[in-house]
Amino acid sequence: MKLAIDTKKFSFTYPKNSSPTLKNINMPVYANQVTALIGPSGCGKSTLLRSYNRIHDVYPGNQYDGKILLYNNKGEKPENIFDYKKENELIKLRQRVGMIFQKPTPFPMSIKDNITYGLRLLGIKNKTELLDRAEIALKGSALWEEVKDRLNSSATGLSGGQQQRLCIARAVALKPEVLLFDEPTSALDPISTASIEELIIELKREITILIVTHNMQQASRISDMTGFMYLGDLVEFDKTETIFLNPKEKQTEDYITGRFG
Amino acid sequence: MLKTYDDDLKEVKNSIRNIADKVLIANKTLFNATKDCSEKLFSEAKLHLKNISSSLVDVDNEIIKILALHSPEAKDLREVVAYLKITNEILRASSNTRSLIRVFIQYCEHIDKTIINEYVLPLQASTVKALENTISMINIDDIDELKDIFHEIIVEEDKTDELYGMLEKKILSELEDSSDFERTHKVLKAFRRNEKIADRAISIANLILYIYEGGILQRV
Repeated sequence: MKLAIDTKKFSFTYPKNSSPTLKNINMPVYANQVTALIGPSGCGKSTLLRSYNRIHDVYPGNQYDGKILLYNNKGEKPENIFDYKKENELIKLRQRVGMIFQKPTPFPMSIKDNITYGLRLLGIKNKTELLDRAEIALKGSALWEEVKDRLNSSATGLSGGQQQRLCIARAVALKPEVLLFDEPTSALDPISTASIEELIIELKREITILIVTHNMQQASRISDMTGFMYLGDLVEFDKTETIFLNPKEKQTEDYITGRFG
Repeated sequence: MLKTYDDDLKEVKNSIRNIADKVLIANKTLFNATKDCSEKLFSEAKLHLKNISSSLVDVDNEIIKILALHSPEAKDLREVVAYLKITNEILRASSNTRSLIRVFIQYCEHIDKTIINEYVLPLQASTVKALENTISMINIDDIDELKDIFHEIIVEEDKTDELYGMLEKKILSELEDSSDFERTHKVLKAFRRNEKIADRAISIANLILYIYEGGILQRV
């Protein structure tokens, strides 16, 4: 399996914290696979996820140790994302490694503009190209059929599930290599959840997916690899089938079977 | 349920169908072999049952994987559980067929031709029919059609009971010499396997009905 990201001896400490939140994490993320991070609240899974596009850097004072190597699909030498110092390098990183949050975050503008906003920032000005890219992104996010007749309507009028798919389309439009999902369905009903899960499975053909979820069944249903985290440690990382059927660590088994604590 | 679940379950269903087909073909071949005690056909029948046990273990492992990863509910859960039990029934039908073939290879020439034509072949024909009907149910999802086939299977299974009873009576009434007792006992025990295979067919059919009708698992 080809690597998309390799996490090596990675530790992370929030500002003003004396001890690290993440401790010596070693974890590969394979290309075109869905990798799920599970674990109890406060175990560090969202912190780890947010490290992959350095979104923590929006606030100063974080301390990173170790490496996160980002591979590209051209087979070139991977880059350590902590070597990026300039603002434009971080913007480029977040284009390559997109993020979807727990609550849908549509911009207060039209559906079409939500998609084309990032593209305009990239310097694309040609209207036809913008529309084409928006259509492709909306189709890729299984939203096109539902919104094709109201592209100029406000995105805030969409349902929660549609808004979340719009956010995915917005990220997909930038052609990311990796998409990070931070509990993307925890605010959605079961039907919208199912459509997002289907979408994630479809997206992995083109994009590497990392997902944080509290929903054990979601992790088992959609992921290829699963990591179980506890108190800032990556306790176990393996194929999802192994984690849910034959976990090696007792802590993992206890968590999965609900006997934790 | 996700497409991945549907795909995995479809694969399990196809595997079960393919393995059950092998047991059916083995029984059909056995039927043809019995007509003139063809050693070649008996061996061929045995060959159809090769590796069935390990193939069924593979299917069971796939089913366990589906249970672990997809946590099915309602009809999905009934379907997965039914398949897990069906594999066991197929295994038992397969081992009954294998025992039957083994005894035929050893004793076929010693069995009276009239008994073969009048009792054994009709008994085997009913077993084959019961199995064939059951296997056809695997790919049907219309409950009325399934119930109709289920009744046909019950009829065939009843026939195997009756034919075996008649066969047993006939063989025992013609038992002249106590030195033949051991052989007769083995042959009768083997013929009884037909009845057991038909029982397995009924159990499988019942499990398929359970998928669509729900309720509680029960013996037929």
